[in-house]
Amino acid sequence: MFNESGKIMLRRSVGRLLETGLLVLAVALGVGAAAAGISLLAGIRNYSNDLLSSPEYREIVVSTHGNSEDMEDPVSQKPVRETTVLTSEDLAAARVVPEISYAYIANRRMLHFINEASVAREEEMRQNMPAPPEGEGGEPGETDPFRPLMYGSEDLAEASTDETILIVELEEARGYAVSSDFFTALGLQAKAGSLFTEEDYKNPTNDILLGADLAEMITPEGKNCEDLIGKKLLARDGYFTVTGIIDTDNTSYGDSFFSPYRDGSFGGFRMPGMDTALRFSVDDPKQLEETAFLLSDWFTSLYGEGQITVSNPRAEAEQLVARNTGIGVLILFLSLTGLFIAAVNVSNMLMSRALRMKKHVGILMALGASRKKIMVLFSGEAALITGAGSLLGALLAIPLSRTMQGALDVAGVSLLYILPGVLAAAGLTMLFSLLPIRRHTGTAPAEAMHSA
Amino acid sequence: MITLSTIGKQYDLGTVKIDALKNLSLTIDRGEYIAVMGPSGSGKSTLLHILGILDTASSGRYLLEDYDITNLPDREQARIRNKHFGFIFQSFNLFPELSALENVMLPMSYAGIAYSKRKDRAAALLEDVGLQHRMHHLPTMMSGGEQQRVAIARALSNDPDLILADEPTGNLPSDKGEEILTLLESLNQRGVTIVMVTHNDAQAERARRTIHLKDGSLLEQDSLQGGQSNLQASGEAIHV
Ligand SMILES: Nc1ncnc2c1ncn2[C@@H]1O[C@H](COP(=O)(O)OP(=O)(O)OP(=O)(O)O)[C@@H](O)[C@H]1O
Ligand SMILES: [Mg+2]
Repeated sequence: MFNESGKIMLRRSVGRLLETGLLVLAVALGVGAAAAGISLLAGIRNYSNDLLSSPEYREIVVSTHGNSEDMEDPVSQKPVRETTVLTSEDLAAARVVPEISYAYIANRRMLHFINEASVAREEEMRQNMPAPPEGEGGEPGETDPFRPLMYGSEDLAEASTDETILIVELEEARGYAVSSDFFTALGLQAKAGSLFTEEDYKNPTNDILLGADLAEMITPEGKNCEDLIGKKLLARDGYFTVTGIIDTDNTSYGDSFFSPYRDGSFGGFRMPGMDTALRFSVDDPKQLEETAFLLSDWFTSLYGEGQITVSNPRAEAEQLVARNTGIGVLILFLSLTGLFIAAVNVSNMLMSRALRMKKHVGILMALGASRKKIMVLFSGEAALITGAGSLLGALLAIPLSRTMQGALDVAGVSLLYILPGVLAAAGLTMLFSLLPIRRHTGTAPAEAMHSA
Repeated sequence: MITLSTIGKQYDLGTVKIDALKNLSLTIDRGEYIAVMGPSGSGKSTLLHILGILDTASSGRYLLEDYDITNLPDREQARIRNKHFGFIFQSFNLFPELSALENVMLPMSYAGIAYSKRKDRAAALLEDVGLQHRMHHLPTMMSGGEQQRVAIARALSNDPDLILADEPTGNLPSDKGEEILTLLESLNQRGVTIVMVTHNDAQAERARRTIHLKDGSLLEQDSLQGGQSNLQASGEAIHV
């Protein structure tokens, strides 16, 4: 594989193991950092594009004041708002803005599951509170499905023998009470079971649909998600029967559940103070601002100043994207600086190697090596060092970019992005390591031979 | 074989210019054995470098078999050095990273000779110079005389027409130098042209022709008494 001149290079490299190791390490660090930086930025861009192209960010949310900002909080403690209550009737506002393609309701809801941990917590609480509120007690399996379940450990033990009941070990799950256009607007389909029927929206029901990730999470070991269909989940607000599992790939709804929304019923939840959030989606995000303006106008004229909040989630998402992109650019800049410094150093070390090789080069030329052959020889050395370093750098870049993506919350970015990063960084390093080679070919063999 | 006419070589050291060779004309015929003598700094090595296309003259003309090589592309010059010239240096100039065998094989790799073939030939050449038992040794493990014999084997690897030797015995004790000289003489007898720089009068005597350099100029030429048929051009080179 190596001819004699190649062997010279190889044995010199091996003979100067420390120097060669440092060279490879320098390349690895530079390439690793740069590749991680490049892949991070590419990942952020990709993630952001995906995020902003999702239907969730093509809608305007209209809610009564005070609701919209606190959507992330457990809402049950919020004071009841007396003045304005939005209902499905208000979805008719869609008619005033022609750009609106769908109007639907998606209200934040929560399920608090009953399981051993929750029962233990409750029993401890009851011991501390001498008098439980009147009339709140009840036995499981009574006719009103929305009656809060008071569960003791015996009841739980009994329930767990029931084939149709699934005890969920999670503490809680978040979800939405949705009106019928929700699934159409977001393009969500059932991958098992079926979506709600018109009937489900009209009558109170305790049916729920599960996002794919949530379903995955609560599926007992050794079972399929599909086995959840028809199972009753035990929660503080009653039994909830799983009637379908939604294909939530590429959405943020993976770990959510869905229940049918009905005016006044809160979709089967006994949660005072929950206001209804109306969502109006448009086809083109550019129309969001105008739509928000028109809707704001409409609802203000309907309910008066300060009663209704019109928000544009996309604007917030865009801010987040801008922030992440900024951080990504900064990291890329720093990592490219690192790469540059590494490349310059590699170039320098190869340069001093080259100077030490000068006599060798002179002799090689005397023995019949053309300048081109000398260039090939040293390019080969540079390529080997860059190659080995880049390989190591790629290995380094994987955990590095994972960590950075994790820190920026854009996880799930394909590692394939590292490849072009490694190639680009390796290319740059190679370029730099080729610079010293001209040194070898500028002098006459006689002069080269006489250097020490 | 080689005709140098009015060769000049200047080294430009910024403030001073050194004329290493001045107006030098010389003809070398096939089969000659020429000793180059002269005081230190007189331009002997410079002349050898120009002859071997290891350096280019500042002025003048270099004809190799009637071809002007001055403007040949680098690749062609490298090919000529590889196939037609063999170099032997005072300090051996072996590659310390390579074994004796690999050192001898190296020029053959540039000639495109396959690995096994060049290995066989290198082994045979080392045997010719009496080093069959040291083939796999590194140069550092060998005596000066042995190293120089490896260098000779390497110079011979592509069957050169011309051997250029710059004080080949300069770093050797006299008995080892004698061995080298005997080797060179036997090569000349086989028809290889030899140009050898030496400070040793006795060695110069044994050459068929001696040229003297002083301050970069050719002084005189002594032909071996009796005149050989291959020295017919010796007279004409001095007057240009
Ligand atoms: N690369 C160079 N740069 C500048 N001057 C040089 C260079 N090489 C040789 N010279 C000069 O050219 C002149 C001839 O040098 P050369 O090496 O040919 O002498 P030499 O006859 O071989 O001497 P020695 O017997 O000491 O080896 C000297 O004055 C030397 O200083
Ligand atoms: Mg000299």
